[in-house]
Amino acid sequence: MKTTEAALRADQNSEDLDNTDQLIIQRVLAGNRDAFKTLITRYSDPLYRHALCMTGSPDVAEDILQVSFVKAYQHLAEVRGRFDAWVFRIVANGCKDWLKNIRRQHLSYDEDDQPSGYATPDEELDRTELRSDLDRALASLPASLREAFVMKHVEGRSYEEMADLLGTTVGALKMRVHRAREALQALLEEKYA
Amino acid sequence: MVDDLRSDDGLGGFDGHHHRQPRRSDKKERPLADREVPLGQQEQDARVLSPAVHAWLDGELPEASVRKGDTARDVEFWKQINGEVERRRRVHTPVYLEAQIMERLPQSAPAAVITKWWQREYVVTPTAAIITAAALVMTAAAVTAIVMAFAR
Repeated sequence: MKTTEAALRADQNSEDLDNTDQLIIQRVLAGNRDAFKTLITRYSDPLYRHALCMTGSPDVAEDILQVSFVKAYQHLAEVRGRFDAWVFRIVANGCKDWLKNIRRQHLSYDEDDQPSGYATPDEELDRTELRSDLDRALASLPASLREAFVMKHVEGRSYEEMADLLGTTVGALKMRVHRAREALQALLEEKYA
Repeated sequence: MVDDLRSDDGLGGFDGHHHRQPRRSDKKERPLADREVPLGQQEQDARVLSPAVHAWLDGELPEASVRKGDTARDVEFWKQINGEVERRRRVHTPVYLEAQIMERLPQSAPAAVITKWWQREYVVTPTAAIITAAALVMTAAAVTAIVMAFAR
């Protein structure tokens, strides 16, 4: 019962947010350019994480986010339905286009800006190694498997939400996530199992 | 730890928008074979994970139910991976990015989309439906009356 109430409340919150998004969009379309900043602040974190995990590079993720938000602004009048889902698709397509265009390159992201939370230098070294190995393993996956894995594990989305955003079925996405996990385990288990 | 992230051929439409210099690794670039796993190789090598492990990773089963027998090793492996994934979940957008995006937005308001009247969506309320139906009946009656008058 509590779960149902919580789900209803979450739906209500999502609907409220969607309504406020629509209000902001109306203000931007009426000429209030600064109102767009609210949408950027509201949605940039999950979009940045998606682009970062898909490309493996903070610089490229920033470029994709900038281009996507500018595109979203220019086409804001065409938004039908949820803004967050619409802008997510722009970013996801930006990532896929970038991946199509890169030659075989290993990409990993450096995180000088991220504070270290590890107890000892040895532990930190192990973590850094796992980080770069996971980057490399993710980079070797086909884009569709990587996308599914990132959305499920990093972004913590449900299969239903993923299906809604990617326009595919829950069954197909489960298959992609399962294949991605098995491929990652095959690549990394010798060292980490 | 960072390789060259910005080859000239790899930016697909994003290369015209760089604001920062690429960060290049000081280390000698590793040989290609060391950096890549050919597509499809990992799928060939992949061993099928137990459905119970997938269910646990999907949050459908408690850890205790998979932490026994053959799957115990898989659980240990995925707990390490999940630790790293959890760290990625806490990554935030760089603080300067919002200002950079705002700077790049056009000064003018987004162009309004002009939709042709037959492509627009209309909401039909019961009142509007009744009024429209009455208007149609009256128009039809008037046209019939005129036609009948001319026919005589």
